[in-house]
Amino acid sequence: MLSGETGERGKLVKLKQGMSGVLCAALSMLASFPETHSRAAPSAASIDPARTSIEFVVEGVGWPRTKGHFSSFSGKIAVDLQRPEASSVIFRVTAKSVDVGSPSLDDYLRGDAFFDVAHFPDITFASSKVEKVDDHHARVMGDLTLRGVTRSFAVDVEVETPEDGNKDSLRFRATGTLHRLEFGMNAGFPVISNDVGLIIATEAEAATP
Amino acid sequence: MNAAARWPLSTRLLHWLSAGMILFMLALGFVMVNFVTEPQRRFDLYQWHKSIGLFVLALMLVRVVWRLAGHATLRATIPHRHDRAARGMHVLLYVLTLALALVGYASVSTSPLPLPVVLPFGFQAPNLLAPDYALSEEFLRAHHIIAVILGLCVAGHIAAALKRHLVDRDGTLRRISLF
Repeated sequence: MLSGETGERGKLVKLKQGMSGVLCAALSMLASFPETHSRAAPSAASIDPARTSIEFVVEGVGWPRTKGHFSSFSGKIAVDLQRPEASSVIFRVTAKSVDVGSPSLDDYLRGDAFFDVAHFPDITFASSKVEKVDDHHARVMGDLTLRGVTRSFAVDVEVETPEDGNKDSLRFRATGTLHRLEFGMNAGFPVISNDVGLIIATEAEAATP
Repeated sequence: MNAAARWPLSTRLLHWLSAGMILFMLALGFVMVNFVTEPQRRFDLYQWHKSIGLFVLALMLVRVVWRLAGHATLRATIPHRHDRAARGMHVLLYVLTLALALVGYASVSTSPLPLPVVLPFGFQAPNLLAPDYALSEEFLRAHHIIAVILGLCVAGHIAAALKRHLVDRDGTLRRISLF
């Protein structure tokens, strides 16, 4: 746990205020579980931007592979190793923080052809289901909203315990492929591929039994 | 060589300005397509290439008008058949440069990627054609082929000028010289 129970509750209250329906309901449910020693609700902790990266990569025809990342985002993760299905994650990414290493290309990507940040400032993801694959892998399904269009989206997550020996601290590396045409982001297809690879790395504390 | 036998200053300025731009653009195009692998740098170079390309197109149109208006005619100082060959090469250079710029513009216009061609003072060049991926790729292929042919013609043009300067010593280079 990052802090005492009061702090956790405070965080949950704050979280509830700012979140979408599905996840809110899910977390309310989690919060209402009896606080027994063996079944504590996983704490939804804010992700640490310094230990988190959101990267993407897209291929092109006659155009080099383009990699980029988002520098501004927030999110919360609740991890329960005993009950992976009770885990959840939300992300809110500031679309205009897209960074591919060139101010002019960034500006272009912010325009209406791609992220259209003037109309759709945020890209959000809210998990709806977490499945354990094995001890080090999970699959997270949820809703991704991009350019105001919400589609189901799944990522494969690799879970690692950092080598510093802190068993409660977990490192995640989520990968998935987004089909941008599904979100109405059609510009440049097929010169620029429909498939956009996403790599999200972050860390979180696991709920202690 | 007396000064009166030189091309008018306007013609000489137009010649060297477009010579510099065309050589620069051929080199830029070759390098950005073959040697620049970082997408962010490549993006900037492509954008520059497009904007400068439109400038070259405008410049060449001015030169065509200039030439047709008779500002670029000068009595031949060389044997008739050489003069005809030189004039043929000049026409070829005009045609190829115009075609190169127009086909490049057409490729950009038909590209499914709606990238603006940035002009000075916040203006953007309009897309002349509807997006069509296959057509855009054809135009791009033609653009590359014409660029190679133009490069060869430019090399021939320079070689002929140097030959006349160094071997024939007929003062041709001096007629076009700015100095």
